[in-house]
Amino acid sequence: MDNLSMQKLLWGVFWITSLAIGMVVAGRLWHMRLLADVSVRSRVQQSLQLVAKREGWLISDMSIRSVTPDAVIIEHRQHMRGRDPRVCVRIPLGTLEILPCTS
Amino acid sequence: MLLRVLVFGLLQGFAVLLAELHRYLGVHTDEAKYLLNIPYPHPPLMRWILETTDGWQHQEIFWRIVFASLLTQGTWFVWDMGRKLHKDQRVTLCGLWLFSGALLLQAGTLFMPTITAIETLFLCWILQRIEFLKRWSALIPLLWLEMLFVAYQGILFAPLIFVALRQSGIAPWQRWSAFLIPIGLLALYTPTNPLTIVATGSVSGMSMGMPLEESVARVLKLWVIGGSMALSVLGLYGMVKSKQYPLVLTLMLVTAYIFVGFRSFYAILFTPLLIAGLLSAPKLLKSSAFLLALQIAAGTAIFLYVPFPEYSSARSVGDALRVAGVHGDILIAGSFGHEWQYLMPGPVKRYRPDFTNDAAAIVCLDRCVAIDRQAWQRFPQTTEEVWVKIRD
Repeated sequence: MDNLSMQKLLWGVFWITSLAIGMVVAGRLWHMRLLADVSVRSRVQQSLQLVAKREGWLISDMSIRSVTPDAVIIEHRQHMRGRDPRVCVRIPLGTLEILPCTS
Repeated sequence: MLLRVLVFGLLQGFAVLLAELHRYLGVHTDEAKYLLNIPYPHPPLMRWILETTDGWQHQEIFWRIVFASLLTQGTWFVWDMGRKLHKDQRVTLCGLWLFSGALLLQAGTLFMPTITAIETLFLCWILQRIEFLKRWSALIPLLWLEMLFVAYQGILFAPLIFVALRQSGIAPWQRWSAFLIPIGLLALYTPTNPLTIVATGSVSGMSMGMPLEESVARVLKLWVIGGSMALSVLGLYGMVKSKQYPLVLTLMLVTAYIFVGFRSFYAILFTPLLIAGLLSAPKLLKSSAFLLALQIAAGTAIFLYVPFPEYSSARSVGDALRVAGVHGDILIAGSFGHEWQYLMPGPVKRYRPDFTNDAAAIVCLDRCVAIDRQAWQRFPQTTEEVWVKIRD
């Protein structure tokens, strides 16, 4: 492969990688768009702190997947060596129960 | 050729020694965060790469050796950067890199500034190789994207990236897109990880309320460590004297960043900039033998007298629990770092008396209340108060 083709290939890798990152990140951002509202953000933050305290979870093990007006969906992943126990849970902001995402 | 192989082997041996030293010292909470891919504070690229080897028994030492090797083998870039110098001066330049306090203290640690530093060294090297840069212009946007998605501090090196893109001879639209798109993507990524914002806020908040002179002294200390004094002074003087404004601007951004969010392992961010600064005024390398001797003495003194961070007893407790065959949830009372998650034989939860039914062990870094001595026995031979469940 000559230098010009290699250059084209590398530029292609850059554009495709950028596009892929942009699409993935935009998708995540869309699911979390309600967090742009200060009151929702503070409510979600308080709820996650309460749930973490109640369950003995670490905040850094909780990743927000999406936010709806009445619930937050998170992945709880207990980081450890080897395979991490992961569970997707739905937390209604009113009751702060822990429900499976499929419910 | 034989000499090159010998030097390669010596540099690699040096890297392995430093990696072993840091393995012996312990796992820092930030290192555990990257090894386990805990999603803050930095963007995910490097921690995701580290996590792919999570199942390996020797994951920690493997990456310590890789990180240390990147720094020590970076000497080849330094050697090539000084190709217009006399051989003695080139050796001195390599010695200034290898015996900088930052390299001696940080090679073998698993902090992201190590990666940023080696990327910066590559950038400084490529800026001296204009023909190579023009032939491989696409490497710069890829490097820029990679730098930003490895660690936020990558943004501090934007002036150098901009100069590299300008000198690569690509069309202006391509140059601006290659410069701005990675920044835009990082800006888009950041709100999707709220923990990052909280963590960044808390780090920058650490310097708030500190007396100005103390903050300045801490930055100066890292600048001294970054170049073991000789390189610190000559590198700075060189870049100012030769009017290397992109380098000066980058150094100012790094200084401001450290001033706001001090971490001892940021010292390495100075080192490649100081090397490039010194090279821009090569006359400063005139008394090269004296300079090298001074650097070796200062680097050794820094290595011996600057204390390493304090590490917790997580490794000894984890090893003891593993030997005792403990499996299951580990409850920890008190505040603890991520190294406990990395080194314990099971998932870690915060201690509460009502969680003990499902737990296998309790580590009391703080006072544990209400432990049922009928069900739990105190674990001997550990530095911390550790309880394990009595088996039926």
